[in-house]
Amino acid sequence: MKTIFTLLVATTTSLTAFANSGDAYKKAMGKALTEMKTSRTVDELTNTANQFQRIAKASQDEWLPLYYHAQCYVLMGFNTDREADERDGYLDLAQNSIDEAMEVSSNESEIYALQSMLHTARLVIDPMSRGQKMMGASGKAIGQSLALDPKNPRAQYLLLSNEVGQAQFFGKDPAEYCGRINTLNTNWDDLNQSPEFYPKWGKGQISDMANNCK
Amino acid sequence: MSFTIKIALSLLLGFGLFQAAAQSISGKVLDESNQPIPGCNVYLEGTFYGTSTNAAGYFKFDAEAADSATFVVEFLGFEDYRQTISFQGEVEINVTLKEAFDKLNAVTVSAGSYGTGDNDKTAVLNSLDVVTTAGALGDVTGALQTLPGTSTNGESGRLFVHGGSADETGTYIDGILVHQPYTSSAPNMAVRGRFNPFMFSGTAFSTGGYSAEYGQAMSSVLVLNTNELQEEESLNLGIMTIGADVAGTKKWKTGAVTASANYINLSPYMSLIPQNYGWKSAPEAFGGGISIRQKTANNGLLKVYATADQSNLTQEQSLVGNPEQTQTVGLQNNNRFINTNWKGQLSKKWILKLGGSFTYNTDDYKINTIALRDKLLGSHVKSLAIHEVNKKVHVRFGTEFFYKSYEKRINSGVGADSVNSYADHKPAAFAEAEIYTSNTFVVKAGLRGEYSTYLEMANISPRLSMAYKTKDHSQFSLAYGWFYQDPVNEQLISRDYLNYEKAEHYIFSFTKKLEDRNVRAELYYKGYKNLVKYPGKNERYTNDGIGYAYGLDVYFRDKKTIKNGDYWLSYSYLKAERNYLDYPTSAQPSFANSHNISIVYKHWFSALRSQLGATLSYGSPRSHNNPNNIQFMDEKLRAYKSLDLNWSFLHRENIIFHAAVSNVLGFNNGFGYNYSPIPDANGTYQRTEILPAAKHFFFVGCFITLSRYGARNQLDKLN
Repeated sequence: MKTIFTLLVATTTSLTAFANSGDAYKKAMGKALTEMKTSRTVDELTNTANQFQRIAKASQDEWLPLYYHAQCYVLMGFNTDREADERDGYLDLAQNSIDEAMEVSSNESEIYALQSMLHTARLVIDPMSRGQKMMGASGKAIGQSLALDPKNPRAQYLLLSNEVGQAQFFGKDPAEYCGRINTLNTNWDDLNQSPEFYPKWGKGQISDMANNCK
Repeated sequence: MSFTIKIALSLLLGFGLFQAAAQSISGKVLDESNQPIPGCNVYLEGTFYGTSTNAAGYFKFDAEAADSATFVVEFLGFEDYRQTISFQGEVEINVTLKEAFDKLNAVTVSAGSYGTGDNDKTAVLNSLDVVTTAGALGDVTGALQTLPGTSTNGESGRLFVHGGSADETGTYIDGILVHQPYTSSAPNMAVRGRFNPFMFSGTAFSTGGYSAEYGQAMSSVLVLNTNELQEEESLNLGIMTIGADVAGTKKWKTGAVTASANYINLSPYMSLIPQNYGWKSAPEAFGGGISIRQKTANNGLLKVYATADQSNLTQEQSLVGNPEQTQTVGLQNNNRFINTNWKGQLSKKWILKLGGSFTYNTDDYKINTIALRDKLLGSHVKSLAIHEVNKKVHVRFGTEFFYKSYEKRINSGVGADSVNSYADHKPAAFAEAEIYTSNTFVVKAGLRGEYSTYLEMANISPRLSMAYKTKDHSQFSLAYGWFYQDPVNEQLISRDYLNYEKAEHYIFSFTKKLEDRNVRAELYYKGYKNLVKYPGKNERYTNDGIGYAYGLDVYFRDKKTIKNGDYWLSYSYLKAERNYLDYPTSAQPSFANSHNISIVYKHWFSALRSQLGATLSYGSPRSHNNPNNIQFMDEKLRAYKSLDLNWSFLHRENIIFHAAVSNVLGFNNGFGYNYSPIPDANGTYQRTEILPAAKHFFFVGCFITLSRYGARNQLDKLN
C-alpha cells in the first residue's frame, strides 16, 4: 500500500514539478532579482549569488541566472574594502559563470558587456601592472558585445565610460563625448527594451554621466 | 500528521495540501575546526529550494518536495557535501565541510625559486617589473640582479648566483636550453641578455634546489616562458638614442606571426658622451626575428621563434703599463637561433611537451694581426610528459638530447691556423613526482641521469624538496639536490681527461605573504666538488678543485604602504671560498663578494602620467689578486655603488617616452685590474683599472604602437 502511494506521489509530484518548473523559474528569478536591487555588501551579494546559482543548477539551459551570478561577483570584485587576493577570487568565480553562460548561449551581447566589466574590475585592483593588458581586454570585449548587438545600451555605456576615463587620464576634455552621452541617455528607455529578466541596469549610470556634461 | 495520512489527504484534496505543506530544513555548517561558515549555498538538488548560511553558519529553508531529496551544501574551497534526506517532519542537519584539495591554492615548493610572472604563485616580480626597474635598462638579467642571491659584477652583466660563476647559470626558453643567452661584448665590458623582455609572460629564476627537469647548471636556472597567442594585430616602433626597432604582428583565427627588426649603433651616442675607452668603431648591431604561434589539435599550441643577429665593434686599448701604446681589438658576432616547441593536452590527465633548439654562434676577434674565432654549434631536443595520477599526485618525466660542438681557431698572422675543438653528445632522462598530503604539505622527489660521449661518463642526480604552509600564510620550504655540469668549453678543448663538476645544495626558506607585502628569507649551503684545477704549467688539468658557499638572502616587497608607490629591498650575505683553477690556496673568488643590497622604488604620478623609478645598489668590496703581493687574493676593490633613475611618460595611449640615467651620483666604480703578463725592470707587474664604459649611461626613447583597437599602447615597454 505504502509503495503504491509513494509511486503515485512520486509520479504526480514530478509531473507537477515539470508543469510548474517554468513558473518556479520565474518565481525564483523574480525573487532573486528583487533582492539583488538592494544587495550592496559582500554578504548580501553572496546570498543573492547563491540564489542565482541554485536557479542556474536547476535550469541548465538558461544563461540569465549565470549572468547574474557573475554580475554579483563582478560587483564584489569592485569592493575596495576587500583585499586584492579576495577580489581576484570573486572575479575568478565571475569568470567561471561567464564562461558557462557563453557555453549556454554563445552569441549574447550582454555577456560580452559583462565580460568587459570584469576586465575593468581586474584593472582597478592593480592599475599599475594590469593597466595596459586589461584596458585592451575590456575594449575588446565591448567590441564583441557591440558587434553582436550594436544597440546594446549597456555596451554603449561601457564604451563611453572607458573613453571618458581615458580622455581624463590623458588630460583631454571629456566634453567631446557629451553628444553621444546625451543621445544615449535620451534614448535609454527605447534601447532598453528586452524580454523579461534580461539585464536592464545602466540607466542610473548613464544619467549620472549626462549630468556631468551639464 | 503522519506521512501516509498526509499523502492520502493530499490526494483527496487534489495535491493542494501537499504542495502547501512545506518541509522545513535547518541546521548549521561548520568547518573542521568547528568554526561556522557563512555564505554557504544550501539547497535541494534539482530544485529551486535553498538558502545561504548566515554569519553563525545557520540556515533554515522551506521546501515543497517529494519524500526524499538530495541535500547539498557548497562553499568555495571546501568539498561539496551531499546527503539524501527523507522528510519526516522537520529536518535538522548539521554539516561539517571538509577543506577541498586545490592545487592552485595549495602549498608550492618555493625554496630557491623566484617566479616573475603574472600568474605564478612564487612570483616576487611581475613581468612588467622586469622592464620598469631602474638600472635594468630593459634587460631581464639586469632586473634579476635586484633580487637576493645574486652578486653584481659590473664588467660581466651576467648572472652570478649563490657564489657560483656566470657559467653555472642555465637559461631555458619554454623548457629548451639556450646555448648563447647573452650578447657578445668586448673583454671586460658588460653583456646583455639576447632576448626582448616583452617576449615573455613569465620567468622562473631559481637560485638553487631546482627540478630534475633541469641539468647542466650548478648554481641557477633561468626559465623564460614566452607569450601565448597574441590578442590583436599591431605595429610597434621604437626610436632610441642608440637605434631603432620595429615589430609587426599579423593574426589569423588560429595563429599569428610577428616579424621584427632592430638596428643599434652607439657611435652618435658615444661622440656626445665621454667614454672611458677609445673606439675605432662603436658597437653596432642589427638583427631580425620571426615568431609564429599556431593552435593545433589536442588544445595544442605550436611556438616557433627564430632570430639572426650580427654585431661588430672595434676598441682601441692602451697596453697595460704602457699607456702610449695601443692595440686594436675587434669583435664580430654572428648568431642564429631557433627555438620550437609544442604543448598539447593528450587527455584530461596527460600533457605532452615537445621542443627543440638550435644555436649557431661565432665570435671573431681580431687583436692587432692575430685572428681568433670561437664557433659554437648547439642543439637540444626534449620531450616531457606530465601526468596527473590523481588530484594529489603528479608525475613528470622526459628524455633529452644535447649536442654541442665548439671550435677555437687562432691565426697569429703567419702560417696555418691552430685549431682546437670538441663535440659532445649527451642523452639524458629525468623523472619527478610531486605528492601532496593536503593543502598544506607537499614533497617533490626527482632523479636525473645524463651521459656524455665526450667525457665518457654518466651522472645521476637526486633532487628532493618539500614545503609546508601554515594557516597564517607562512611557508617553510626545504630543498636538496646534486647538480652536475660539464667543464667550460675552454677547458674541454684542452682534451684532457675531465669529469663533471658537481655542486650539492641545501636550502631552507621561509616566506610570508601579508596582503600586498611579501617577506622571504633563505638560508643555503652549497658544496662544490670536482672543480677543474690547473696544478701547474705543463701539467694536466684535474678535477681536484673544491669549494663551498653559504649565505642568507632576504627579500621584502611592499606595494601597500605608500599609495601609488611600490618598493622592494634585497639583501644577500655570501661566504664563498674555492680552491680551483690556478688558485694556490683556498680563497674567496673575485666574483663572490660578501654583501649585496638593492633597493628598488617605483612611483606613479597620475597627474603627470609618469612613472619614476629609482634603484640603489651596493656591492661590498670584491676580492682581487695582485700578483705584486705575496698573499693570494688579499686585495679588495672599491665597493660598488650606484643610483639609477628612470622616467616614463605616457604621452598618448599609444605613445610613450622613456628616459633613464645610470649612476646619477657619479660613484667611481671599478671592476678590477688588468696586469701586464711580465714584470717591468723594477720587478713590478704594471696594471690598468677595468672601468665601466662610461661613468653614466643615458637613454632616451620613444615607443609607438599602432593597432586596430587604437587603445593599446606600449605601457609595458617602459625601458
